[in-house]
Amino acid sequence: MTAFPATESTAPDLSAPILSVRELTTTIHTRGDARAVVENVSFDLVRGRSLAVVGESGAGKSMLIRSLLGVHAPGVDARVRGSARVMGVDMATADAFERRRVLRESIGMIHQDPLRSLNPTYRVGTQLTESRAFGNQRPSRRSLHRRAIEAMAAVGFRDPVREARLLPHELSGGQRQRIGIAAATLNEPALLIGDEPTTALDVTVQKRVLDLIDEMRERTGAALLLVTHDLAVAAERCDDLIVMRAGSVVEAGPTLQLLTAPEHPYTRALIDAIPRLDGPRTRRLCTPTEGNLS
Amino acid sequence: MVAPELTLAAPGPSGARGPRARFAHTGIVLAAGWLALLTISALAAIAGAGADPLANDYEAINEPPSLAHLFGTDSLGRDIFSRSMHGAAASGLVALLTVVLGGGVGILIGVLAGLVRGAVEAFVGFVTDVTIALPSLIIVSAVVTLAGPSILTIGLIISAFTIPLFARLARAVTLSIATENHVLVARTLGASGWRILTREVLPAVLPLMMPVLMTTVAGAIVAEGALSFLGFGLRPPEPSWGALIAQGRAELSTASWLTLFPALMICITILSVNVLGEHFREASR
Repeated sequence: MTAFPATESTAPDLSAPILSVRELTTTIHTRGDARAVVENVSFDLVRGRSLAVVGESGAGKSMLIRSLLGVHAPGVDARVRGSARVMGVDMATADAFERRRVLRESIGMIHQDPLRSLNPTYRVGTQLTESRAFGNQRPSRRSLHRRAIEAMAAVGFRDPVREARLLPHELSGGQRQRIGIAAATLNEPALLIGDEPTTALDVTVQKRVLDLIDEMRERTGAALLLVTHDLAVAAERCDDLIVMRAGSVVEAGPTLQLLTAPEHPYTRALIDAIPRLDGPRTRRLCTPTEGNLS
Repeated sequence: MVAPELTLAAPGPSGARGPRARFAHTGIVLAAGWLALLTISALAAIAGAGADPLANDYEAINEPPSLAHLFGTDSLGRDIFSRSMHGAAASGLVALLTVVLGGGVGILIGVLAGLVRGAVEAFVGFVTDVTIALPSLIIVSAVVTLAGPSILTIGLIISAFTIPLFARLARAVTLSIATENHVLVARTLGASGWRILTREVLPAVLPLMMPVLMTTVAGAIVAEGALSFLGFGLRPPEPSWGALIAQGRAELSTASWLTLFPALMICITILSVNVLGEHFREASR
């Protein structure tokens, strides 16, 4: 007995998780020392849903992302146990070729620092075409260029043909992050990962960038895994929430439920730490007569 | 409360350069011009232009510089200008081998060690440490004595000794570049190791290696001159700058041009290479 009718067997199962993480544990080994930076993390993410991973700095959020992508900084002896399946491929055990294929075809990643994420020596248009020129299937240079221009137009560049010829330092922070989004979504990946994508941006640019990510997701139906320490961003943009502390998940669930009725004291502390305009002032502002302005 | 006035210096006219920058720019133009001229002259000399560097002319022995012989002649009547140009070709070959073999192989080994890390890095580190500790001049002299004095042998052995230097520096630079975000981004996009090496790391490493490359080229030219001067280089009558200086040494008081012009050629060439190296160093900052 099959769970689905035979006619549906060739169609993609939309309810199947795009990302399935099971008991993922990452240990960093140094000389004579080993420290678990991610411990027993498990979750699923299906098509079209968004999941935020929140926690303070050092909670293991970014290390979780690196572990499930299988991309660690050079020289770091990181040993991963458990599984992290992206479109059915276990990134923890897949060979380098298969892992690169999944990274190219199924995952788009938006990084934290838009300036440092772009190669300073290449024009942004070149970087966009480069980002999809990897692998065996190599489209022509002309078609890659056309797609890069289209991608730049899609993320709001008004004159993409001219702006594609600029170097990263010639763009503003928001423009650079839009290039990052264009690069991440150029291949219409099934899974979009944002590693603190708005941390380096001011609040107005932050909103535009997050709106843009939402627009791209609506168009492609991609799932979003958003790593952030900003609980407000997670509350506004994500369906589900994982709270991490010291490498472990302390609480997980639907965002609304978790924010309105948190069970773990750490989650409550995080929620209480959100600054409120109508909240009590902990520091009295000085008046001009009290200060040394004269 | 009165707001303090803030005076900003008026910007200079677009493209205006200070005296120091103008001086540096002139230096770069002169240095590049000299090296270009020397290369063309040496190539022309090899192609057969000008006087035969080995032809004796007993009617023009030890003639001082003149229109007929720009750098004068030696005790056998050979044209010093022509011999200097052929000497430039010898030095140019040593410089070329240093760039291609020393720089090319050394940088590639260093970059691979910095990217692959682990056992490869440890092995490269050990080999470079051992090689740098070797007495290079003595080994070069011994190899030239055993293998016979040819400019190819001299160039190969000198450039081989520069490989560890480049490898060590390239490895250090790569360790820094490999941790930069844009390299990590390329990896998360699924770039292969080869693509990361050729598109992300090497283009960032090479500009930083250019000043060292120029300094090492200068050192290699001096080393070839020194070896020839000491008698371990090309054997007479084959011309090289070091050999010309050594041959003219005995007649320094009576025919100073025999030593002066080859020495000047070495000095100006080394100065030019160093000026360009300094320019690359400034540009890579």
